[in-house]
Amino acid sequence: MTKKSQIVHQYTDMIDELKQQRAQSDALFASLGDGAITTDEQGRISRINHVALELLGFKESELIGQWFPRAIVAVDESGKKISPMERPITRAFLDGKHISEKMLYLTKSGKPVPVAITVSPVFLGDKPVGAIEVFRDVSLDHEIDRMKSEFISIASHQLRTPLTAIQTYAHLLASGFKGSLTKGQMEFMEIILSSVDRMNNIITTLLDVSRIEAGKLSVEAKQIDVRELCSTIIYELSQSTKDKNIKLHYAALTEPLLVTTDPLLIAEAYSNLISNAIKYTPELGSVNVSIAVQDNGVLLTVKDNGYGIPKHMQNQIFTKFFRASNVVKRDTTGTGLGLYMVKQIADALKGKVWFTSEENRGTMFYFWIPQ
Amino acid sequence: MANVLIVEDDKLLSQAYHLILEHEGHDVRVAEDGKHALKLIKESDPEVILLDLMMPEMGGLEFLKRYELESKHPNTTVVILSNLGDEKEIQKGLDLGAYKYIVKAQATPIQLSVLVNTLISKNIDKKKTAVK
Repeated sequence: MTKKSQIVHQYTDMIDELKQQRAQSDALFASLGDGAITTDEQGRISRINHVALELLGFKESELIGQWFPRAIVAVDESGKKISPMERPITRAFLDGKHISEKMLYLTKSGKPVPVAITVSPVFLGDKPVGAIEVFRDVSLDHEIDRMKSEFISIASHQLRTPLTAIQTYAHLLASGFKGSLTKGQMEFMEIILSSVDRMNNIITTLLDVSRIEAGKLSVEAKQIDVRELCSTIIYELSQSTKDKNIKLHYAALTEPLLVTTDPLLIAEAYSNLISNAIKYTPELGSVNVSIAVQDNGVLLTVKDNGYGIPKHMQNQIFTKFFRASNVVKRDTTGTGLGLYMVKQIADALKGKVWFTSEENRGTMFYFWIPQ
Repeated sequence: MANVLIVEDDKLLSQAYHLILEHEGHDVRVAEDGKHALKLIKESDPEVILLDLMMPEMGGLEFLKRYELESKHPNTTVVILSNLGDEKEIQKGLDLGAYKYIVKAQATPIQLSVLVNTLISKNIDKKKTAVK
């Protein structure tokens, strides 16, 4: 075989191999259960699979070669169009990072479909050559969420009625309405009443969560003094710190700190963070609370030297019903809704919540709201 | 002693409220829904109404609309006692003239009787001022 025919042979083999790889990637792309779209380095659609076409109601020929952010329109929850620069596909290009987000895509007929998307930039060496977006229709997830919230709301109301009767009659007995109780009977009565209280609190939290998820969490801003609010919450929680022998230190400001915000929501968030710190700190531990003006807002800091959050669970801590494994072993009474509520409240008040934590060393939570 | 009307469809609860308030020396009547309450009120105006919201026949909010509390019954104070703790429901009740909204599950009988006694003494003060 001459040298020339040897080179031709090698090239033919390489081309065959490339064709085979292309066929494999085409088959993989076509068989994805989610919608998938690839673009070139200028954001023009180069490939689109049948799931994406079916979901969006387009023909392949209507999209190939079109600029992605213009061809497929995205809107936010309120129906406002998301500009091309804000689209994940553009940001993934600019930042060179993977992006996962939820939004609504408009089909060819203009119907909004909620989707969960992931965009990854494609690099050849250091050079960006395109992007791939995979997306999934989450309408069913939304519907299930709505039904779940409705169920929680109805169930909670129905549970409250018999619970009110138990509570009212137990109070009547405890206050000697049908004769005075012995010390032992009184102790049992107190157990009944505190259990009813616990159940009432769980129901109230469930109702709050279902209300948030139904989008009914209305913010009614008023001017309040957060220094005083913090003192009140700490006073209310002082009994639980005494029971556990925990030192609760509040570095109160010397002056009132006035903020225009929703008093009920902020109280719920502060109370959740401080009571969590007490709950997840062992006996003889300490909890330090402080508030300060920072970045045109108010920052609450709650530091404890308690159980901490295991590193591998830290990204789930604000998820609904989530409870870290190290605290589940120690305490069985939590609902896993407290921090979820705090996060929802932070979002509703246009604030932020974050933390640093080390297992068995403690946790520091930060809650910031604009002033 | 005052004239108190309980509007509540749950018999166990209305019985408990009845017991507590009667024990305090009040003259207590019970209606099992809004319609029944409107009928009882024709006989005599109560000084305090403890009103549930979710009831068969006529609910609490509908009762308030028909009762025209502020214009026709200035000496009556309505307290809503409901397990619907939704802000919108609370606001609707207050807009229709209710004095206070209490989530039933969060009130003890003692708190309730203290509240009724306070409202009655306020009403008495109001009347005294009017006579002067």
